[in-house]
Amino acid sequence: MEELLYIQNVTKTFGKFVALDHVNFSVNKKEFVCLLGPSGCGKTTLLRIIAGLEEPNVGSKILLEGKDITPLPPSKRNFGIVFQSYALFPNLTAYHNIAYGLKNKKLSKKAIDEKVREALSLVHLEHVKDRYPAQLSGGQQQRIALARALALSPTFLLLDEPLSALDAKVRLKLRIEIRKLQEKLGITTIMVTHDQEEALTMADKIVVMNNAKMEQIGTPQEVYEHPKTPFVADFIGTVNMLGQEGSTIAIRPEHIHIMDTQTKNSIKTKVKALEFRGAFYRLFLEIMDQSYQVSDGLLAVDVPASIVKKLDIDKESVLNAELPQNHLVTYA
Amino acid sequence: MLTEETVLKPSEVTVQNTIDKRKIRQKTGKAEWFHKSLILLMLLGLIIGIVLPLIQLFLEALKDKNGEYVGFVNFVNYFKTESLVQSMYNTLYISILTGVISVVLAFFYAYALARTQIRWKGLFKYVAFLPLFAPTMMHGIALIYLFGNKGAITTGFFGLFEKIFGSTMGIDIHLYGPVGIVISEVIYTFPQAFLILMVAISVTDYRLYEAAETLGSGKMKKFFTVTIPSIKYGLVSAFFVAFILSFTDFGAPKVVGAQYNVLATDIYKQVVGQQNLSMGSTVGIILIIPALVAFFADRMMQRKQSTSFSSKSVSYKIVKNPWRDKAYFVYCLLISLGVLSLIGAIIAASLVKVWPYNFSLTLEHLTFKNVAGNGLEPYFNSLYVSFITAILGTIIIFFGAYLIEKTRFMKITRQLSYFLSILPLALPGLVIGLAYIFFFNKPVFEVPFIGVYITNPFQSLYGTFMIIILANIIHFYSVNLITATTALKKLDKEFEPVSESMNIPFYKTFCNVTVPMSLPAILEIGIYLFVNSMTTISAVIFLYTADTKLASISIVNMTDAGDTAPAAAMSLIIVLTNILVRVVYEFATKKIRNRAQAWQQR
Repeated sequence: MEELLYIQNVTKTFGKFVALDHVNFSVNKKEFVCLLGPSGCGKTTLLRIIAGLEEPNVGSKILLEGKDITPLPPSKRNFGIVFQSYALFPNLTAYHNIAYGLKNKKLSKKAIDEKVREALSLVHLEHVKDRYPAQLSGGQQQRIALARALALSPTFLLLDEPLSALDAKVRLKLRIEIRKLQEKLGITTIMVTHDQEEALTMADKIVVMNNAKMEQIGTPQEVYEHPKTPFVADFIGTVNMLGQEGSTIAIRPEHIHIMDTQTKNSIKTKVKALEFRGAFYRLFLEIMDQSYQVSDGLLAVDVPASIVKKLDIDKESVLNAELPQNHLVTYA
Repeated sequence: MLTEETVLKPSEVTVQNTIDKRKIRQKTGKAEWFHKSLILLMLLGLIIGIVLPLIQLFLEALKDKNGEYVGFVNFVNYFKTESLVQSMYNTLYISILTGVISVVLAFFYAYALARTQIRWKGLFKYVAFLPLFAPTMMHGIALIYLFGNKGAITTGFFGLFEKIFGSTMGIDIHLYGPVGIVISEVIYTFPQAFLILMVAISVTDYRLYEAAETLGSGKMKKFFTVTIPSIKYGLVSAFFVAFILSFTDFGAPKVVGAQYNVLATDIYKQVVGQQNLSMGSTVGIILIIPALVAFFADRMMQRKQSTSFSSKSVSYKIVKNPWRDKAYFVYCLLISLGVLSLIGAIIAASLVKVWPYNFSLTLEHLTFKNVAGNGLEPYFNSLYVSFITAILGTIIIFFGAYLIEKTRFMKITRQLSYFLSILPLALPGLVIGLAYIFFFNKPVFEVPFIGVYITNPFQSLYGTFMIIILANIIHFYSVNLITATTALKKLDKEFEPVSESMNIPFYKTFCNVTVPMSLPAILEIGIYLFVNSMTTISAVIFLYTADTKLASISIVNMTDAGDTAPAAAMSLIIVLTNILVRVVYEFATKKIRNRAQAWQQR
C-alpha cells in the first residue's frame, strides 16, 4: 500500500501545556484513519496541525507524498475539512455553499454548475439545493458540508467530530453513508472522534491517543483484541482488570466462559448482581479465589440469555468462570 | 545515509524527549500578508488615536506654565488648592448620588416592564430611551424653564394657581447648583441604567422562584434571596455606568451648575478661561482615575458573572396581581410624565416669544438670528460630522473587531489591540479632546532622552472637521467594538478555517458572509455613532474652531450669552433629528433585520 501522509514527531505546546508529545504515524492512500481519545487528549489539535490551522513546534514534520508541507498555509495543502458545527455559510443556499470554493478556481460557470450538481448527487441531496442551512435538518447540513469539502476534489479529507452534533439514529445512518462515500471515492480520510464505537465501525486504522501521546495504532480488531496498554483496553469496550502475582491482566466480559462444572483453569465465583441487557446478561461476580484481585471489586461477565436460563443463574449462584489464555492481555 | 528529507518509517523515527518551544512559521501568501498588514495598521491607528495623545496629555501635566518639566508639582498644587479639591468632592458627591437614584428609579421601572402586566409597556419603553437623543445641556435648560427662577413650577404656573387657588403654590427647589446637576444627570443616566437592568431582570431563571415557592418563602424573602442576587451584577454595572457618565459629564453642570464646580467644568475653566493647559491636563488625569477604577471593577465583575443563566433556564411567569399593576402603572406614568414634561418645556420655550412675559407663539428662535450662535450653520455642521462619523466609524470599528476576533495570526498584536480598543471606555470625552489638542497642535515631537525631533505629520488635521470626527470615533469606539464583537462571536468560528481550506482569501468571506450576517449590528453601530455625535459636547468642546462649530457647542455658547430660548430651540432640533433618523432607520432596516434573523436560526 502506498503511503500518503506522514506525521513525524509532531509536538505542540501552548505555553507550558503540552498538547501533543512526539506523535508519529502514517496514513496510506485510500485509508480511513480515526484519531480516537478522550477530550483533551490532543486529537483535535493534531487534526488542526495537519490542516495547517495551528503551527506545531520546531522538529515536527508533516509529509504529503514525501513532501514536507509543515510550513505551508492551509490554502496550499489541498484538503477538504468538515467541522463539528459544519460551518455552512448561513446566508448562502446549499448550492452556493458548495459552489463557494469553486468560484475561486477560474472555472467556467458551466463547469462549476456541473461540479456542484455532482457533489449534491454524491450525498443524495439534489432536491434541497435551493434551501438555506437553517431550513435543512442536522443530517442534511452535515452532508452538504461534506459535499462542499469534496467538490474541490481534495487530496485528503479531514473530519472533526462530524457526527457528534447529531441525534443517535441519524448518526448511525451517516456513519454508514460517510464510509460508503469514502470507499467509493477512494479518498484518504482522517477523522477525529471520542466515540469508540464510531471508530471501531468506520476506521481501517485507529490511532488511540491519551494525554498528548499516542497509545496504540492498529486495525479496529487489533486494538480491541490486543490492547497494548491498560488505557486502550479500558477506553475501547469494557474490560476487567485483574491483579495476579504482581502483574495486571485484562479480559473482556464476553470472553469469559461460564460453566457449571469445575475445570483445572476455572475460578470459583459467586453472582453478586446481574443486569438484563436484552440479548445477554451482564453478571457481576465475586471471585472466591484469593490469588486474583479485581480492580473494581467485581468481575463483569457477559452471558447469553439462553445460558442464564439453562444454568438457572440468579443472585448468590456459585459459578465457575474460565479465562481463556488467548484472550488474556498481560501488562507488567 | 539519512538526510533530513528522507522519509522514515514511523517506527524508525528516533524518539526525542526534549521539546523545542519554538513554533514552525508558515510561509505566507499574498492574502496572508495583506491580512497581517491590516492587523498592524489597526494597531498603529489605535496607537496614534489613543496612546500618543494620552502620552502628550501626561507630559503636559508634568510641565509648568513656561513649558518646563517640573515633575508632579502640578498635582501637588492641585491638592493644595482648596477650590479645586472641593470640586473633586463635589463631583464624587454628585456622581454617587446620581448613581444611586438612577439605579433605584431604573430598577423599579425595568421591574414594572418585565415583571408586571401593566398597560402601555411599549410607550413607557420608548419614553425611557428618549433622553438618549438629547444633549445633556437640554435637560438642564428644560429644568430651568420648569424649576428656575422664572420656571413654570417655581412661580406656580406664572401666578395662574394664585388666581385659582388663592395661593401661588410655587415650589422652589433651588435648582442652580447640586440639585439641578443631580436631576439632569439622573435623567441623562436613566436610559443606560434602565437598559442594563432590563437585560439583567429578563434573564432570571424562573426555576429559582419555583424552588423558593416550594420552600415556602414569602414575597419579601423571594425578592431579597432570588431577585436581588440574580441581578446584583446588573445593579453594580448600572451603578458604575451612571457614576462614570455623571462623573465626566460637562453639559449639565455647565448649564445649571452656577457656582457649584465639578471636575469637568474645572478643566474647561482652566483650559479655555485661564489658558492654564498644564493644570487643565492635571485635572484631566484626575478625572480618568475613578473612571479607570470603575472600568476595571466592572470588567472583573463581568468575568465572574458568566454561568448563572443556562439554556435550560425557564423564563419568568407573571402572576396576576391588579394592585401591584396599578402601583407600577402610576410609577411608570409619573416617570414618563417627568421625561415628557422636559421635552414639553423645551418645545414651549422654543416657540414662545419671551418666557414668561409674552406667551405668544413665534418661530423666531428657530432662525437663530441675532444670537451668539451662527444661525443654522452649526446644525448643518453637526449633521455633516455625525454622518461622516457614522460611516467612517462603523467601517473602522467593525473591521477592527473582525481583525481582532476572527484571525489566527499575530495573537499578541491582537490582544494589545483589543486592550487599546476597550481603553476609551475609561476615557472621558473631555480628556480625549484635551489630549487631541496637545497631540495634533504640536508642530514637532521631541523623543525623550535621545533628543530626536520629528515633525508632526498630523498637524494639518488641527482645526478641521476631521479631527472632530476622529475624536468622536475614538470616544465611542469601545461601546461599539463590544457590539461588533458580540455579533461576531455569534458567528461560527470555523467560517474562516473552512474558507482557508478552500483557498478563499479572507476578504471574500468577510464580504460574502461576515458582513451580511452581521448587518443588524453594523447598522446599530452606525445609528449609535450618528445619534451620539449629534449630542456630544465633551470631546469636541476643545476641538472646534469658528468654522467647525457644532450644534451642541452653539447651545453652550448661547446659554453662556443668556440666549436660553434659542439654545432650547437648538436642543429641540437635535432631539427631533435624532428621533427622525431613528424612526427612518427602523422602517428602512426592518426587512434586513428579519432576513438576518431567519439565517441565524439553527
